[in-house]
Amino acid sequence: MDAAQIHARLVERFAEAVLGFEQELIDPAIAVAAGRIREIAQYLRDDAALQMDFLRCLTGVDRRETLEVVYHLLSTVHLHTIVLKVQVAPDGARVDSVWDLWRTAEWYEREAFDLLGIGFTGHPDLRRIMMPDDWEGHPLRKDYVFSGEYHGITAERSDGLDAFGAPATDKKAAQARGAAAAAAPPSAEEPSATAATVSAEVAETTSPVEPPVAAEKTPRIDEPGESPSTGKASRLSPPTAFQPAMHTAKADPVEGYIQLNMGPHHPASHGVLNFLLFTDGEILSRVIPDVGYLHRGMEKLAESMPYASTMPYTDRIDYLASMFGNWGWALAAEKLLGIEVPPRAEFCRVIAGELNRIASHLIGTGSTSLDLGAFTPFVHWLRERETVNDIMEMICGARLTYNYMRIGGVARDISQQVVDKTRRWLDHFLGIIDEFDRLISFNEIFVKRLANVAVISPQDALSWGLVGPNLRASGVAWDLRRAEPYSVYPELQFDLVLGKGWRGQVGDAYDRFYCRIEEMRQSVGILRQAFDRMPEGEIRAELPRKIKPAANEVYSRVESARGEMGFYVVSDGTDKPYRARYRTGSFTSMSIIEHLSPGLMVADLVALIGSLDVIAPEVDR
Amino acid sequence: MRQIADWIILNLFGVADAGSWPYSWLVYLGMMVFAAVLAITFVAIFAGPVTWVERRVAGRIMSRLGPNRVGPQGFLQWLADGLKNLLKEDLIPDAADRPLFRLAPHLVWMGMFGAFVVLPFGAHLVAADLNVGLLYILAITSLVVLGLLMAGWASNSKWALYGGIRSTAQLVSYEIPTAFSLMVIVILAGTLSTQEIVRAQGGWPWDWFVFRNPFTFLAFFLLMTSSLAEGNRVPFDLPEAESELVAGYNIEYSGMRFLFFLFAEWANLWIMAAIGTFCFLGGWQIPGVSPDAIDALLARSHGWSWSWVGLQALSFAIFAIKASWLVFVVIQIRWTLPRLRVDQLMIACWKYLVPMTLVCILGVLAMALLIPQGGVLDYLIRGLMMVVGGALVALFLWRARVNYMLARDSYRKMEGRELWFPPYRLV
Amino acid sequence: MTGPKLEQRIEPEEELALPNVLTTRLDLALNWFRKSSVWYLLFATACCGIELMQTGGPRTDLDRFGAVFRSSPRQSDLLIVAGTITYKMADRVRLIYNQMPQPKYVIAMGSCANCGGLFTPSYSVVNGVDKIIPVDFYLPGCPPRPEALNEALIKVQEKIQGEPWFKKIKVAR
Repeated sequence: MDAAQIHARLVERFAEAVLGFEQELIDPAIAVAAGRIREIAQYLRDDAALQMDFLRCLTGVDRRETLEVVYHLLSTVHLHTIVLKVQVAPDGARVDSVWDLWRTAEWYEREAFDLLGIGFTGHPDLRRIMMPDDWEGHPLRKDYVFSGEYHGITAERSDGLDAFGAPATDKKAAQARGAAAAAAPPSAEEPSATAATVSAEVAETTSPVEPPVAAEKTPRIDEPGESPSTGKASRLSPPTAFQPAMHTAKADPVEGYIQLNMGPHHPASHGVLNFLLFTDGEILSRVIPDVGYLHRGMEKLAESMPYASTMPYTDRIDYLASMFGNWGWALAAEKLLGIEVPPRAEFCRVIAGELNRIASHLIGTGSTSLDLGAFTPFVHWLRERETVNDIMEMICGARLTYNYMRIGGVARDISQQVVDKTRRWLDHFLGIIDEFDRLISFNEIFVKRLANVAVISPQDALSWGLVGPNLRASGVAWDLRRAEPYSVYPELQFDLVLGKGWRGQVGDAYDRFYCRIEEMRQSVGILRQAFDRMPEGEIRAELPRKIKPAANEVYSRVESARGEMGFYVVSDGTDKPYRARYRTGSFTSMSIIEHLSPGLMVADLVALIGSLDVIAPEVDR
Repeated sequence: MRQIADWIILNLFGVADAGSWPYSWLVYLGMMVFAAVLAITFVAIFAGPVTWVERRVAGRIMSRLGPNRVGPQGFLQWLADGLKNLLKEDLIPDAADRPLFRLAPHLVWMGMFGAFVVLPFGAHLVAADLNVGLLYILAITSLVVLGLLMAGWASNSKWALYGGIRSTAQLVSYEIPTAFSLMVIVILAGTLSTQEIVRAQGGWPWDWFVFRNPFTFLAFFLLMTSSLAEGNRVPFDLPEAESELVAGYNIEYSGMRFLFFLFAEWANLWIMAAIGTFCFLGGWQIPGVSPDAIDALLARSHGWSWSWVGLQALSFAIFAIKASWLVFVVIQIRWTLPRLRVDQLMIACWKYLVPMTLVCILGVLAMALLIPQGGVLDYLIRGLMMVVGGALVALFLWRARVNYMLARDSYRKMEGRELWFPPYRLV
Repeated sequence: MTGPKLEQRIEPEEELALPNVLTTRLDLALNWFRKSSVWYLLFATACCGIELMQTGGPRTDLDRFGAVFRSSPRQSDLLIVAGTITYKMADRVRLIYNQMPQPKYVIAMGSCANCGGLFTPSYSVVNGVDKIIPVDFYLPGCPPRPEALNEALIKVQEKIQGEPWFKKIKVAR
């Protein structure tokens, strides 16, 4: 079913609630009334012909006079997509939450609240997610200006210039503007109790997943009524007196449980992730993930620079698989500009991407074994990764942050020397995977630690928006390279690796681990085919001198090593994106941890984080 | 040591009856201090280099090099680590329970070091040949539990507390299979004295307890497994699980106090290997030389006897080689296996190790009743067990060789040149 | 700069009444051992953390120099700030630094830790970890290669080798 048909169905059913249809967009969008979004969303999800079972992305766009909430929906059954848009007024207006229709919305809505100040009615836990609790303002608002100082740490350069090396503007005026913007956002207060009860009723009757009853949730971190802008008290504390700011520790201490802070500096937190654990001895009763320690404001940065300049930043969204960040961004710009990429460049992209997928899975599987106490397999993978790094260096000159792709092609051609070296390495690598299997994958202790641990059902996986190997390990055959083919993947033969319950149930931690091992084998196959078929030719398409796409919107997506990496780019006809939004796999993987963890043991949590292959910058961006 | 002291009293002071001589306690005291100094020196000299050995072995396993800058081949690395830790700031967290925080490393250290008193290093090289030797080892090493729990509690850190509690549960549980598998030896040797246990075996492999019958063979592996757990070694290193508890019970310890924990860990490695050696692998027994002959040599010789000294040295060397081999195996296990979970740890102990050790005890009793000692059948079984043991070692070596050759060929094919060096070469 | 006053670390105050030759010799010997056992804290925040891991891996093996990683700051001598530090993280970094026992050293690894790097214009990134903790060595690169980190470790060793140990030191809080 295409977007027009979906629009027709919605008009037929909801008539006046459907406000408009932007068919000219690359991903057509339907504007609906703010008050009816819950109904419409539920209809889209539950109708047999539509079955929008997957919320790809939920975000907001600051349209200056209004705020826009954008829902990217997908049906993994019928393979159709649609974009919903809701307009709200920037000061205090709210949208009904859809967190119980697609559980992944819970975190997305928190993010939209944090960064854009959009209120969501009926959300169980609306508090800041990326920024500290006492942060002022909502950074992704167009009129947001950073005050230049937080807890006594200033952003000033010692030479008095601004961040770009230009003479600093009038800071006072900027701060005044920022303060004005901060005063406007809606408070997190519940407007009325009815909305919450309505949503709870709806949840009980219709949700396919276990209905998350509001009462079950112990009082959450931010009590309703405390608006983010009232948290000024802590800013007045003397900057030198250190107070460990426990950004989640405001949760009520639960009687009889030990409260443990795991992270953000912890060997098992991949990067800087924080978990607040409530444990009964070794058994977890509740885990609250706390993210944002590596929130670098990349989406805001992308708004301030031309399309091509954002390319190096996309490396750092997921530094283990930075090629896919490049790829998604290039794809977004190409779709906006309507450029065809030359075939050789497509093959270059596939080769670089698959090599990077192997490199990423090496760290993913290796760190799983490291988390379970086996150090040696990890170091063996580091050894193999050095060779991949060498090859990558030959391809694009960098070891980790490649910046290889360009809008309309790639930066450099892949030489025959690279092809020969890679082929030799692939032959070698297949044997090393077998050795790795003998060493650790089939080790009895290792299997026992992972099998039947933290089982994710297919319904949960979809509802929480898991993607990539995590989703496929639960038995859902969803791979963008197959489902929504891009580049030259349709020409290449490879198997989808689905979780089979190799050593336990389908969707357990071992499946997630072993799916990655198998995917590396598949990638080897893809690489060999790509080398065989690579045509001669150009590596870059003709580009206009200045990249200035027409006003349009696109949601480009690539299958990254951690699953779907989406780039929602809004262009307003200038040379800079009006809004860029990165949808990443780790963010959703992270959000399911709270759901999975009750009943697990502390050691299982480590295995779970390892098997989900969460990586901090992808969560926080 | 008592024998040596008596020898000194007899030969240096010319007193035949040591018991009635009024100054013999002075000699005994002197010998006690001497033995303690000797043992501490031994532990220091063992524990230091073995850290270097472990890091080099780990490096080889991981295709790295390991420390090779301090001294020849990095051999003095342990000295550098020790001195550096001595020079670090002595840090006690504000919230810690200061007396307990200071006491805990000493308790751990005492528990470990106390066991050295009864370890038979050579024919007459034992600090005190107690008649309750094995029992003493089991009792004194329990002090370690106290120390670890104290460290975990006094640190006032939840991660440390977790480490302390885990180690308590683990050590208390694994005492039982350890004690039961040692019971097998007690049944066979008929004594708890460590020296007598060694003397009940012989120098040749078929006289060792490990090959005596299938049950002792099994008990040896059970003992090594459970002593891995008692020593907090992988795959039972839960109390200091790096990826879960950050560093476990010693998370708040720095400098010298932390060094005490490390020291105790390495000393424990030796204790573990020594117990396995003297209980199952014939201890210091020299092939072809009966212990009685060495005794007689001591009794006969008036004055310095080079042959006695030589035999002592030889027996010590034999003991050290066997124990070092076990240490080497334990190090290899450390760098190969992942870690168990807490519940799996307990299941492994109570559902598998304890019943199996009980079966071993019953089996040994049955074998002792059914099969006459020294008969043809007895020697047949011993020979069979030796074949099994030899086959296990051969299998291990063969697997190692296969893996090595595969990897070497693979690299040769990829790089077109030799990337691997022979396993015996240091770099 | 309006930020918090950085901690003063080591101030040479007065010499002990030992002959210079002896102290110098002893310094040399002790420092040789001290520099050979630099344990670094496993503290990786962003991209540089991957290169930090690779540096501990087979090709550039930090263990050769006696440098192993410890997970607890109490047992570490060297803090390698590998990656971007955000305002949310800043307090934690200071806490970790304060938890380390003296003498301690800090390498700011990568452009983000040096000055904010690519993310200098961002609203949430601390422009250089030296606004929070004192830094001994700045290691440029985005991310620096493992060889570069190796070189930085050698620089730290050189610094340790040159420190007077037998001069009375005052630790100012």
